[in-house]
Amino acid sequence: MAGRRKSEGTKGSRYVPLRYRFIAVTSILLILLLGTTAILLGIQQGRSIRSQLERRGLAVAQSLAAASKAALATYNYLALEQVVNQVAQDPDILYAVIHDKEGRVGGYSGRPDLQGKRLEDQATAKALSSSSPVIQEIQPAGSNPLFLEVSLPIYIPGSDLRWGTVRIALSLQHMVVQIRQIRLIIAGIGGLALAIGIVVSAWAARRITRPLGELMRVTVEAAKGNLDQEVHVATGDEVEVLASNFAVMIREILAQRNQLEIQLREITRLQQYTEKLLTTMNDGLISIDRDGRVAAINPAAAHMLGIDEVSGIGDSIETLGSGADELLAYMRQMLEPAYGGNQREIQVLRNGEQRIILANCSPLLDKEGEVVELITNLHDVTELKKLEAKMRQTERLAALGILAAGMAHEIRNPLSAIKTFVQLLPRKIDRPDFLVKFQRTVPRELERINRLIEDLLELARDPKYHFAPVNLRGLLLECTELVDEELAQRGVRIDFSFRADREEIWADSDQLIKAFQNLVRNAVQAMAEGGDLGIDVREVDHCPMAERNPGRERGWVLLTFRDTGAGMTPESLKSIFNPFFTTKDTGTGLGLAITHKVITEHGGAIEVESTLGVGSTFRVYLPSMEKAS
Amino acid sequence: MNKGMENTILIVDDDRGILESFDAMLGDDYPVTMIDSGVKALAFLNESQPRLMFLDLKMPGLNGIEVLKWVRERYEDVKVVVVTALPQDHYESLAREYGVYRYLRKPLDVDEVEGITRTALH
Repeated sequence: MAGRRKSEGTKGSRYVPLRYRFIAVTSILLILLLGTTAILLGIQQGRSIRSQLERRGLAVAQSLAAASKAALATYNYLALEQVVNQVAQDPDILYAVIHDKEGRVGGYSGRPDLQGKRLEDQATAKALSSSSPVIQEIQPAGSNPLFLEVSLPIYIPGSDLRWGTVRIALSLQHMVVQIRQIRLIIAGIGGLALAIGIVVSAWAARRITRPLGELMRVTVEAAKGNLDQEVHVATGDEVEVLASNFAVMIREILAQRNQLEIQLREITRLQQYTEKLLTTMNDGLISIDRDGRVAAINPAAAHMLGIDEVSGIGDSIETLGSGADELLAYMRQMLEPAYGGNQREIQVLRNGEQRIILANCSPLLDKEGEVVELITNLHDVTELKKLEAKMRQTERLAALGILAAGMAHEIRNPLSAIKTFVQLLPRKIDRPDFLVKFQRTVPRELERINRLIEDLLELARDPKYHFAPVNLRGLLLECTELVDEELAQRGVRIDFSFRADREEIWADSDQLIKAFQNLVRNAVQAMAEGGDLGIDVREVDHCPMAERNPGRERGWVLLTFRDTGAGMTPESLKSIFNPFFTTKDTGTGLGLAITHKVITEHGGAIEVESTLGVGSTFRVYLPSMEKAS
Repeated sequence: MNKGMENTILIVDDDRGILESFDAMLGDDYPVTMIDSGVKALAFLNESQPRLMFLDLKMPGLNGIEVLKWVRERYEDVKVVVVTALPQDHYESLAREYGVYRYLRKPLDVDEVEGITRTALH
């Protein structure tokens, strides 16, 4: 660009190299100088020659006057003529005239005919009328050359009585020739000086402009874009400074250009990377502008919608295919600024096949925070959904399997006892001791089955609670008393600490005692070799599992049951509240399931953590009195 | 436990009803010893080895499979009959791997128990 501007500039304003300008200016100056000198010299020389001539003329006139004084006094015209002709022998003297005191011609060289006559011409009049010497240039008629006439009045010594006038005409021819010669010499010297001057100035110009030329060559190359070059200027003056500055500038530009190239490469790489990313990613991406026109769509999105990728750009989103009505509605909704909500599962019809797509919108904002584009991310979750359904099915079946197996075990034990006694009855009907055993065992085992069924029903039934204020401390003590015997048997000590300010909570005491009893029994059974069961009650502000925590004035009661028993594996912990799931070799596996149900139905929550070989901790959160009421 | 009780039949089960039903089935004809836990069973077996024992699988502390393994490693002559209410088949294959004499599922059949006892002891 800089190069173009430069060349345009040189074309526009008559490009004359500086060297020629310099030579022209110096030449003109030289010519002026030499010309002036020559003219002045010529004039000076001319004047000098002329004054010499004039002095000579005066000298001749004075000598003529001296020589003719006596003759004039005596009117000796012959003598006067003689003197005049003598003087006129000088080749430079054109004529010599002596006038008497009356103005008549006393003698005229070469013109004896004029003797005694009066001359009427202007020059004569001027010469005769002046009382001092007169020098006048006279241009004779015809083509005769100019001459100089010197006239001198002759006075009688000691008086102002005029005796006559002497006139000498001197030829200027010689002087003219001399002046011409001098001028020729001056012109010759001037010409020579001019020639030398021009040569010198040309040399100087070359000397000065050569580094500039080098600089110019470099700048022209630089303007063309060829920045990679050296500037060789070592003149030791401003040009060198200029050149070195220019070199620095070029290096700077080069560095910047390299930097730009690197940045451009990086930008290109990033762009390609982004494009590749968009092309290769499995998720679909559609970007639409505020007018609902497609700004960008990646192949995955096009594939999901079953459309041709390229045809979508710039079109209205309506062209995204007939199977995507729900998606279009969603995107239009998301364009509304007031619309909340974001992620949505959407069904689309791709080539007749129903697909489930998880759509997620994020607005692309400009600096002012205005929505420029809406980027919709599409994730095909069809397979995931199928898998999820399958897994849920499997989980349901597995849970059912555990339930069925648990039930089978719990029913078959009493059933086996009953069956045995029933089978033996016909054989041993007469044996009173057998009948006693029969009476003792069969109803008890039947009752076990019945209780199991009731427990199951309890788990499955709708909550039907009789809530009333319950003293929590009393309830827990009652609960531990019920297992007192078992505690003593196993050597388990209970460490009970009640730190809550309020002892009462809002609960169904029958249900709650059942829930706590299961926890205590569970802990005791985990400690076959004895141990400590810590029961701690205190008030807390937050329940980590609750969706919404009540304010400080409400809060929670936290009951912690910590045993030093066998502990459980992380796998077991996951299923611990499932019915019939048990890690113990005793128990139905319904206890903790019931506890979970009761606590949950009291608006509370239960969590457990356990380390194998160290023990387990159950934390029960129950809402404080105010909250439940 | 006295020595020379080899003819006794050992019943190991934590379920009171099952123990009572074994007593009703075999108690009149054979000397029967009832034990309600695996740990206690091991203590008994250290003292005396019966020719036949009925062993439950699901018990607190030490379960039936552990007891079976323990017995098989030490006393080859003791015939172990597993009686269980657990429906899972893998317990049976596990028990067979450890050399169980018979594997019975609850509810038990009186005739079958009596038949096994007779065969095992004669």
